[in-house]
Amino acid sequence: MRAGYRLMSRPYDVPIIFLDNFHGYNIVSMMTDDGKIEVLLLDDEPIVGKRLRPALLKLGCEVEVFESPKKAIKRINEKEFDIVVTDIRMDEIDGIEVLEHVMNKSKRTKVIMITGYAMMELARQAMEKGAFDFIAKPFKPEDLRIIIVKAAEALGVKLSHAQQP
Amino acid sequence: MFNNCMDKWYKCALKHLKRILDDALARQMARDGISDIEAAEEAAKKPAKLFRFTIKAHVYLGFVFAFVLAISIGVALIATMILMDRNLEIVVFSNKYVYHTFEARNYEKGFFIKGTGLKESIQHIRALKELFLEHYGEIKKMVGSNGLLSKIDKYAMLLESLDGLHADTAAAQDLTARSEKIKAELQVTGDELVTVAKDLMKKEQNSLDKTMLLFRVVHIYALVFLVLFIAFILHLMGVRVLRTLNRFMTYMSQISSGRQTHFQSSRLYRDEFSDLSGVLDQLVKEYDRQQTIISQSHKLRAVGTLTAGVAHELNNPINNMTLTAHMLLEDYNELSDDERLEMVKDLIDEAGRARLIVRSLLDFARESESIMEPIGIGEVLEETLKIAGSQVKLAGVHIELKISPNLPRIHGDRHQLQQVFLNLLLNALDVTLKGGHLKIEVCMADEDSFVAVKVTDFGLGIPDHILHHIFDPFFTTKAKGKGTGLGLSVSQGIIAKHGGHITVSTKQKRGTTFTVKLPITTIPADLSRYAEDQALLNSK
Repeated sequence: MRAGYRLMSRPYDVPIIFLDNFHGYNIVSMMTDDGKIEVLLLDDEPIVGKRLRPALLKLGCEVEVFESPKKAIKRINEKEFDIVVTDIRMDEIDGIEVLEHVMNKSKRTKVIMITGYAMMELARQAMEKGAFDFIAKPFKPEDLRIIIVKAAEALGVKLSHAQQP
Repeated sequence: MFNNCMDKWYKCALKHLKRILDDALARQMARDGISDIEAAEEAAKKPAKLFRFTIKAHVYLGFVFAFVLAISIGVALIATMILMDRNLEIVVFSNKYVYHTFEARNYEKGFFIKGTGLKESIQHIRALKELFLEHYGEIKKMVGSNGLLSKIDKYAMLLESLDGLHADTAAAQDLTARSEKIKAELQVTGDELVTVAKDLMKKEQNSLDKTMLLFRVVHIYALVFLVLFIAFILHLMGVRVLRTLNRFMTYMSQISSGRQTHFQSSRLYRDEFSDLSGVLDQLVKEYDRQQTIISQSHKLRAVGTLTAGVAHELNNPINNMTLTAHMLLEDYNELSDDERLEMVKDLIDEAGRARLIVRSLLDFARESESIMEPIGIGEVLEETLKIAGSQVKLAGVHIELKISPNLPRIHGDRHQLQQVFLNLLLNALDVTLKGGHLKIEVCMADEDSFVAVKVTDFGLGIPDHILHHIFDPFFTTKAKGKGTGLGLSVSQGIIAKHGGHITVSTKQKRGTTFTVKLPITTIPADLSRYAEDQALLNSK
């Protein structure tokens, strides 16, 4: 699964990270003003937020979890996040719209898309519209953390990442 | 001759009647003694037991009958004509006989009064004699010949002797005495002759009357037989051929409209039509089988369409399970017991959710026997929406489902109806853009005792030149590999089997409404189940 999305979607301006070397890094440097990466996580499945929040907190990020796209967009309008993780398929507003909204608001923000399953067409569309990367369901928390670390790196922040043995 | 023929015909008819009655009786007795299932089997076997009375035989019999009838009538008429002819001859000669007798008597009497006419009398009696000799046979048959000729001879002799007496003047002295004597004898013989003549006349009259009666009877019989023959032909053409053809026509049109029927013959004999109906029944069974295969393959096709949505939908619970399981593994030592328990519970819930998604699809895809039962049409639609739920979500379409309350139940097959509505729904989804909406309405139809399901999309509508073909098998406007073109055709078949129909109304650029009308059930609900419930309630 991981190899799949990497092949399909990796934007070429992002440096390739060797995943094996990455595990066990414990370096903290180049943080944002308040020292923390701010992540907004949007998925209409409550369990996704519930489980990913502690996973991301471990990275040292600040995490805000939303289930409703409307509320999330409202929050995005209020605050500029470093990273937005959004599901593509949702009932009221879909992830592509959220992506467009974020891109309009702040070019700097990295958007990571979650798709139900790897749909080439949607992935291409998302990448064209400026998404940083995407991840296909089902994924492990570690998979997302790796992408978040990459995104942070692209923002010039090195996140500490302590993998459980 | 025709008495003979009629006798044979009558016996033949009796024999047939007896056989039919015996057959019916045997069947009745057999049926009384056996169970319902066996009775059904018996009914199925019935044609094998019935005796064969083919139309060919009927036609041949008709011809033979017509031939025999024509010949009999002809012979009968000729025979009566000959009889009539002979009778007329008898009339002629007996008239002559009576004439001569009376004339001879008249002249003889005139001679005794006026003294003239004896010669003429002799002439008449001679003519009478000739006539008698000529028709001796007939006269003998009619009045007997006991001394008639001798009486005529005696009369002639008396007349001649009287003539001789008058010519012989020498014996004038005892003329009167002898004349008186001859006169007396003449009177006796003459009277006898007249009596015979009268008798002859009476007999002749009788014989004529008899012949006339026979003549009339023969005519009436001929007429009666003709009428019978016409009835026979009418039965063949009208009842056997035309009525059966009509029944076949109704039967075939019922089949072509998709209704499931079986050709049930109530006839007591077998013929070419029985064979034909057997072959047709076979054909219909084969057609039904093919229809089932087509329907099933189309269903699997629909399942294929749904699979994309289902796969998508399945990813959510699987993702939730993956995340939860991994986090449980990762943080196992830091988590409190409650948190761990919650996570395990989440795992179980999500697994259940995945199972439900798969089950609804598998339930639908399963090849199932057709079970007709009273069902609520609203429930069927709700189930259909559940099956297609992920597809609907994937298409990003909002569906407005409106079900009128208190709808009567319909009699139908749940899975087949789901297939129909799913098909209409998927079609509607195909023409609806992302973010669009569909309307499904379940209500009473305008027609009495029908419920209607209306599936409305707000797409581009169906162009006129396509509208005629949408129910044709293998007609599709979808891209190659996307549609089989069987959806509406199969749906129509299923709905027709339920005694309903599908109609379509469309407006260019405004949308299309497919309306399915189904008859409400008139079969009472399963009362035994109700009784059981009641018993359970009472026991509590």
